[in-house]
Amino acid sequence: MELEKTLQHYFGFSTFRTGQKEIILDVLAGRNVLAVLPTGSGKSLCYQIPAMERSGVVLVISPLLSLMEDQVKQLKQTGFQQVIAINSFLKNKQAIYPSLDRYKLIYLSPEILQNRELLTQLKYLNISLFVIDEAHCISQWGYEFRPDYLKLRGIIEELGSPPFMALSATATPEVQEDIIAQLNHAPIVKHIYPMDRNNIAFLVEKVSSNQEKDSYLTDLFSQFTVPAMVYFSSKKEAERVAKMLSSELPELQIAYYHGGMDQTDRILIQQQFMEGKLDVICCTSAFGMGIDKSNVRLVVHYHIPIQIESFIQEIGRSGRDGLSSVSILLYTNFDHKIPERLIEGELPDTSVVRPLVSMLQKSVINQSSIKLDENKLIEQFCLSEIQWRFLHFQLEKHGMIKENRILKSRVEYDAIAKKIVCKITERNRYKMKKLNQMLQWVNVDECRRVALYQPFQKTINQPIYFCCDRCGFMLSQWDPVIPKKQSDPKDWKVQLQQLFSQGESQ
Amino acid sequence: MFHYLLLFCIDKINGQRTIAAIFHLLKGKRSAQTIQDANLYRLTNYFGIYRDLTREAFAKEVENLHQKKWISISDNHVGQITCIGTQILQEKKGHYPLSMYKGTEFVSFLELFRQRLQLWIQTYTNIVADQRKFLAVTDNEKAQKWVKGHYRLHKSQVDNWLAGVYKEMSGFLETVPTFYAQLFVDRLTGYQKVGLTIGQLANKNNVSDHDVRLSLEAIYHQLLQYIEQTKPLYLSDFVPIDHVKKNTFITESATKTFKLMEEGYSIKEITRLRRLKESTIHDHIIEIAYADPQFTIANFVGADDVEKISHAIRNVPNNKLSLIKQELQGNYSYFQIRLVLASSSDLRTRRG
Repeated sequence: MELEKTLQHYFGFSTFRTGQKEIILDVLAGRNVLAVLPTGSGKSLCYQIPAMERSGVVLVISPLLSLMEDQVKQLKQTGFQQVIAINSFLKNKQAIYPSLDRYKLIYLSPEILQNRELLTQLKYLNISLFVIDEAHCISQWGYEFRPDYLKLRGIIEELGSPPFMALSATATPEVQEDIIAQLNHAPIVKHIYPMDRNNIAFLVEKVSSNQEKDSYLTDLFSQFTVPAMVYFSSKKEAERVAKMLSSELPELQIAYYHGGMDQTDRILIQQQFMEGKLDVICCTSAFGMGIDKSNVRLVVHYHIPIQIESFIQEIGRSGRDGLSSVSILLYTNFDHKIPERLIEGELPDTSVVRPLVSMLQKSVINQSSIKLDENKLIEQFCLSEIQWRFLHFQLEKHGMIKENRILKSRVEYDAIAKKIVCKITERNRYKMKKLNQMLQWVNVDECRRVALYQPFQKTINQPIYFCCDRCGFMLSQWDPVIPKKQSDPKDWKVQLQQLFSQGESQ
Repeated sequence: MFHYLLLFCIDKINGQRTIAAIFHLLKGKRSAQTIQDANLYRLTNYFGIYRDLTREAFAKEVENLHQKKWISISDNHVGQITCIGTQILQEKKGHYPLSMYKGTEFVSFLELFRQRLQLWIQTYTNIVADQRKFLAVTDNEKAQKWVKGHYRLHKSQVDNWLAGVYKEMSGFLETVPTFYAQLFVDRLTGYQKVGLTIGQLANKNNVSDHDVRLSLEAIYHQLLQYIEQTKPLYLSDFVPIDHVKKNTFITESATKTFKLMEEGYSIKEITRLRRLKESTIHDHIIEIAYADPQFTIANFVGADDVEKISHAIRNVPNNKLSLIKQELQGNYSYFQIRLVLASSSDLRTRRG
């Protein structure tokens, strides 16, 4: 009952959702845990409650900076203050290091964990749990493989091997095995929960151009005024379509959201959406993390996601209240080009590898090591931050870089370059394979629900409302619950009066 | 309004500074040069009224004016208003509330005041509705600390405070044009109300993002003036106290120089002590001369010399330093001329 009290006190819920309590009990018993829970099932609660309940400190490694910040903010809001996020954006890090024992929950980016000074400070702490969030990043077969994640195993050992928890929303059985292998096959309790959603119906709409997509959306939203999200893979397109829809459907409240907006505006849009002030939000994948709105009825993909896992995560933001919801994917025959371009841009072009490696090699011809000038390299070879992180890891692995110094390598540079090129080709091929799975799903002939979830679980639940277009579902059959719209007063005098809850007779 | 403001500033500076000087002015850059410019060209009211302005956005709007042929830009980045520009300036005169701004007076604490007020409204309206959880509209720790402290102190009078602030606030909003009152209220976040973003406000009112930001800024300047004049019981509490009527329009470095001067050190000695260039110390002294009406320049320029320099300044059609120096046959240094300009408000406010 103690756990429920904490849950009530900090989060305001009286009962746990599926899986949460079982996982927490295993954690409290000091066991290592692998938990795969669908998005929106309250994964973070599984380590937040142990942090509140137990003495010692819980470390959480998370690659998503914005998510970290959001969680810290939300926890502080509930009254839990002993929480902090340490990442490269935090100012005065050194000042905080000596007093880390004040905190019960510390979020860390994988990059910042490479900092020796911080690591030394962490060793003094009584670590009750080491959480690896987005654990699929540790798997080389995971889509968002993060090189720094591979070093986590060593770090856990260095910290005296505290119990750990690997968390993910999107790990296939293949990736789950790899996570366990990467963590040295330590004894681990698995909590795997199905991700299929039996209240969501699937629809793929093939069109011939973006103009057709635009008019499809206009028709759709003039028919169904329900809380809806439209996902884009480009910020510009999200903005453009939001503006287009606003002018076509002036009676609806439509906004856009992407990572390029300033923080205040992002918070305002999030809250407008949560409060039901918006009908449609045109967004990139930056929207959604940490947003828990229960009555999203419709998730549309204007662009095809790069892999099935992202798709499942994004449609999972609809119908959390269990009521009938719909996922629509819009597709033209050349839509595969956008994700292809994204994939190509993620890793460095293979043609830069040889000149870069050769240049590093030449720079240490007369010394045993020299300081590495990252910014110069990034500029000279036009690398993105992610591309450089990848190369940095590879160069480190092949002994050409250590602690930001270029070392003389005994291995012939040609051989190193070849290996790196090989790695890039292999990764790209893997990503293309994932994209192809997504594309195949678009063209699948049999049931979309089965095709979508089969790789993740053995049995798939029967749908409660409708299944998919392949099983005969048409949008005209859909009769969603439409939320009552509260229209806000327009006049500032009335608005101010209501905001301050002041009576008329002032 | 942004275009008008730019035109206005370019007109005032009248080709004597590069366009970048206006950027620094609107951003409120605390350098001796910018502070001197603000005073010299009577632009102190606009100092720091657009702190979020980016270099790119500024360059884009300037280019815009250039393309419309409202201004010309020389190779050395000096802007001059054109005939069309002058016409526009005439036509739109009084159209925009430039008089609402009191830049230098409020620049050091306006942002904190704004964040305190917005966070306070969000906090108190939620608390009174028994809603303890909400996402704070600002991350500013100073503002958060202040609101927490305020609540601790006034826990038992939440209702009184809400009623009081409401009454004073609506009283104030009645005094500004509806457009501004509406904009101000639309931006507020609180219980069951989420403020609109800059983009949404721009759409709603059919103006640019820049104009929304500048208009919001204008209301806060107006509100602070209102508070100063009427001294309302509740709203006065939100004004950061340590700033009230204390001269903050002076850089930290200049303050140090000033202290040393008061202790009797000479310019040469201060230069050595502070390991700064003599010209920097000169800048500091000019800065102080602008900021402090009590400051006497007698230690640097004798009374007779002040007379001569003033005379020369009046003879020169604009306040261009090189021309003034020429007029004086090079008998006085730039520093001395600048000092006389700084200390005499009727000289520098003379239109060139």
